[in-house]
Amino acid sequence: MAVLEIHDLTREFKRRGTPFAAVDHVNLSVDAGRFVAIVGRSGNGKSTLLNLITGLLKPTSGTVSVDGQVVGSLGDRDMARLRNRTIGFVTQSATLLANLTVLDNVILPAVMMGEPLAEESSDAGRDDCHPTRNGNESDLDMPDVIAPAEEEPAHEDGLARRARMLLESLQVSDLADCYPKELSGGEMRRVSIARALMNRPKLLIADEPTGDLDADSTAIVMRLLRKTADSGAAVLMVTHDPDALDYVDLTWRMDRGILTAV
Amino acid sequence: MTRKLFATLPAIVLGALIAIAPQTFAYVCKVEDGMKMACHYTAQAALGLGVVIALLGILGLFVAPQVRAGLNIAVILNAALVVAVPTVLIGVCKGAMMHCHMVTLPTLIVLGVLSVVLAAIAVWFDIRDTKTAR
Amino acid sequence: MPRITLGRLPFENLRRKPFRTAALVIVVTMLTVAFYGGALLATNLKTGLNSMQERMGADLMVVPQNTGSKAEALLTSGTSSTFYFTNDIVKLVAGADGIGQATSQTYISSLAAACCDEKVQIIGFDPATDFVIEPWITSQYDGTLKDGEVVAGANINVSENGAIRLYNHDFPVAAQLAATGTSLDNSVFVNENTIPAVVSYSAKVGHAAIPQEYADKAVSAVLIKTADGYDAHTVAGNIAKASGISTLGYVYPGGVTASTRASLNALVGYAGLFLAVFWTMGLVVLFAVFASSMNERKREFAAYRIMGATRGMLVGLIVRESATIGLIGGVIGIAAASLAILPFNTLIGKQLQLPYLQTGIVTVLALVVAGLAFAVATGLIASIATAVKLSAPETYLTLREGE
Repeated sequence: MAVLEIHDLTREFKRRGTPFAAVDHVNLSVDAGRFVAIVGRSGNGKSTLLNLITGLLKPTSGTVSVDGQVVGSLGDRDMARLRNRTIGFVTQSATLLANLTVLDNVILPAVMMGEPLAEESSDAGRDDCHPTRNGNESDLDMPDVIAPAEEEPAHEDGLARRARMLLESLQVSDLADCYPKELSGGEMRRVSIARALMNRPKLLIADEPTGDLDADSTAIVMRLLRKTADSGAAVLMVTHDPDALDYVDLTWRMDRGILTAV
Repeated sequence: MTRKLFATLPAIVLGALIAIAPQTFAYVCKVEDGMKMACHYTAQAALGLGVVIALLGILGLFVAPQVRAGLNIAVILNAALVVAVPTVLIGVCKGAMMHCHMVTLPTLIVLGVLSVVLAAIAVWFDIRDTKTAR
Repeated sequence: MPRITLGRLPFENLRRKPFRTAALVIVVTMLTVAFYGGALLATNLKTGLNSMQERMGADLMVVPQNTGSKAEALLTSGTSSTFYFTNDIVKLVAGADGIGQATSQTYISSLAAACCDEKVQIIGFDPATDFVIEPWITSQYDGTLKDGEVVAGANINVSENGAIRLYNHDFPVAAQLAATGTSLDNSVFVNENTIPAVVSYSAKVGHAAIPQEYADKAVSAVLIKTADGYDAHTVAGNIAKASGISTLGYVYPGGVTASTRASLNALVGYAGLFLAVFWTMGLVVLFAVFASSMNERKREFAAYRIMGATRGMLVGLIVRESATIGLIGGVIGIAAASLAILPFNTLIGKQLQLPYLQTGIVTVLALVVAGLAFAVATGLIASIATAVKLSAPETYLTLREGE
């Protein structure tokens, strides 16, 4: 079933009085469990497309539906809920909150809607990240996430446990109590991936997730995204990075607003 | 460095003021014919307390934050005495228009309250930081 | 450390930007000090003025030549003085047309012997004809003042055994009056028959207040209530004619009250104008800081949106941040102004040379509440523009390529 369904989507901007289509009649569908990449040069409408999918921009024409809901038709509250609970967004720029610790940054989406996500959580949470125990299981780069969770002090609740576990799986758990300004670009990127995964999104959108990362870090991130897809989420990634494409199921190219299969 | 000054400077300045004020601008009644009024003893007590508070502040410049927190607790207690001395413990002249009642008493109360509040804030910061560091 | 919640977010934002927060708090604190401190002072002056007006029973005071300003100062600002007629003024005045009631008073400025150098104003009044002092003394002390006894004003230092020492003599204090905020608080009241005794005690210690020869008949002022239909100034003219003395001094207590009130109102008016200008300037500063931080925080707000914050949450965040700044600034400002004003009320009253009476606890509490509301409102108003922007339906908080 398609988690993301884009139909004939167009968004026009005006530049010096002349309208031009940043996103031009795009059709795209991403099923649950699929990992799709969009490549293309900067300024070709990729970020506009992502903003349209998350409802931060309104389309000129066409529709976006996420998890069966038409994005443009929802009110602010329902749209916010969709962004919070169904979509995870790894942004291209550093959007970690400077005033919160890394740990709190990761937890924040879970407490945003008032009632925190139920603690059903902890166990299911581990499954989210290691759902199938497939080929990567023996990989030493990916430490067993159960152990650190159990080592946490008793007073930490399920949300903090889950956040630490996510940080652990991205190998940045030692930074949990740091503030974003103390982190390198690559570390920030990994933390924002952990934040995007916090609410177990059905659709994970990643805008240049490996942009500032070295080869090792790229491998960690891409394996995590792959696993997220394998666990049943739809993953849509925008990237320049040819190394990243090894992990995806399908690649599209975006050129002057037009999306074509590679 | 800022923290250290913030935690010690108020005690030094206010302590000095508490000691000096009753001897200068917030003077008390003069001793006449060997008759010493209550305010005279209040001024003496404030002199002692003020010097102690200022010294505690100076000591705070050279010690670790935990110790400084302890010193500031002592500042709080001494400053509470600065308030208590002119009000309940010793008192001042009763006449409302007398200089010691009109100026010395409120001056000591204000300086004492300020010392208590600023030292309490310094204690809170120093203890909290010590905890987080652990 | 407890984990983050939406409710804690504004406080974390303030805590992690200590300089910005401190700057905003300082601005709000200054505005609150000006507002609350100004309101408290103005209220105390008004209370003092009302109290003074209640104590002014006479329409006209006849005083010796060139002592008019002394007498006025004695009424308003608590500067004590001694002056007296050397003739039988009461009889001379009595013949004038338009006098309803007349009574004489004697003013003697003394040194309090016991301690310090505060002067005490001794006021001798004539219980037989008095209509000025007794009405309000009896509101707190009923009984007739015996010869040799005194009634003490609120600021008078009464000794343990219920006496006041003047000119090395202990006068028993029959009662002590509540504060009025006027010179009367520093006065002791005696029966006119006691005056000669006071004068003789003063002579004994070598500071004769009035030459002995005048002691029995010394009168400092004749206080007059005009008969119905007579204007105080007309009566003053009649007195000049009837007595045949053209150099008498006249004080119009009603006029004194009115002119004090007028200058007080002018003062309050200017202070209010100054306050309004000051407040506007402070608000502009707060406004500018909020607006510029809004630009600086665009990315932060975009991040909240991406994480699923509604527009309402963003507005709530800003509102709580600014209300918290307002509240902190308000509490500090009110504490500071209270500490500067309340303990020093006697000194302020003395320095202002105006009737100044510390208003009651209820009024002070009401002013505290008003001051806090003012501070929080100031914070909220400063953030309105930001909040409106954030609540606009077309969100512009998008992350653009390369940002």
